[in-house]
Amino acid sequence: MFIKNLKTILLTPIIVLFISSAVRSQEVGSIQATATVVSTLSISGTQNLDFATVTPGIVKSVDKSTVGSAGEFSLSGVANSEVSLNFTLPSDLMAGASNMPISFTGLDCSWDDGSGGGQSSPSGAIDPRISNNLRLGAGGALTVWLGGTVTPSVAQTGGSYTADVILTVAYTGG
Amino acid sequence: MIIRRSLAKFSLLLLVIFLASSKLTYSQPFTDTAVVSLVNNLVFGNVLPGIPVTISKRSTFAAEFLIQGTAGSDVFISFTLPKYMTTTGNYMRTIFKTTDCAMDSSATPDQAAPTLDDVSPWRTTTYTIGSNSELTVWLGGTVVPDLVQQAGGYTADIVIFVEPVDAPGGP
Repeated sequence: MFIKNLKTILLTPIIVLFISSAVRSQEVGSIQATATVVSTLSISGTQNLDFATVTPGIVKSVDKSTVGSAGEFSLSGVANSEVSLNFTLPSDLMAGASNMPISFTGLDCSWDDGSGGGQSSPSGAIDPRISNNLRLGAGGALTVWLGGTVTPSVAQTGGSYTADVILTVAYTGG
Repeated sequence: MIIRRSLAKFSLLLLVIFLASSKLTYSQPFTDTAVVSLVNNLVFGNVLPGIPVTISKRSTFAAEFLIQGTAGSDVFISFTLPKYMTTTGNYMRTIFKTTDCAMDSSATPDQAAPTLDDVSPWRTTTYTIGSNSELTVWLGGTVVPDLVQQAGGYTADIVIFVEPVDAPGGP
């Protein structure tokens, strides 16, 4: 019994010694990776492109500077960040099975980042048919206006015609 | 009875001698132990949703560790790397490439031209502590935010393990 206890007494420090020396020989350090994700870019359609009453056979245009009729999009995000703008433009307005052609030119879109005078005197103009990169203003805002032209046929069926105009925006990282 | 008492005294003497000698041998691994100091966090700064950000191991924003130990001794270096950075309830993917780490054990560590470059942080690396008893380690990385990544401050822990090559239980 005594011998057994003696063995235990003698062996325990050896085991403890080996365990502790193995553990303490390794050094561990930890740092942090940090990142701040800034606000997500947001966009909202704030005014429809409204051609109002259209007469069959009479081409009608809405200018991008016409308040209350031109389409309007409002963007907000990180100040001075570059964003890409891509329109998906319809080729026709639809009323049930009837269609009415709509077209856009390279002069049909304007924008203001706060440095211009608003819709009537915007910061600049872009071609809505191609991809464009612009910067949000110092206040993190950008407003885009869109005009267009509808071409009703002489025998255009009466009705309320609509189509979606989609503007897709994304940060470019630039 | 007398024999037992003598045996007990002898055993205690043995134990004292053993503890005294073991204390001496115990101190040996200590001299080979490296000390890790944390110099810089890996800082990605402001991140835009949908736009990945890469911090080069050459950048001043790269993570930096300073290992101090016995000059000329070899150490095993390994990392535990995060797959995601987190903020409350949200995650953002991180990527560490097999060339994102660099080390320098020279007397004047040069982050732009380190003595050991393009090291994989995913593998255990063996390297020698310099003549000035120091070894500097840099680590870069990439974050990949979603297009609708929730805004906020994201963090993750990067853990480095340093172990003398001749340490008991080494890799």
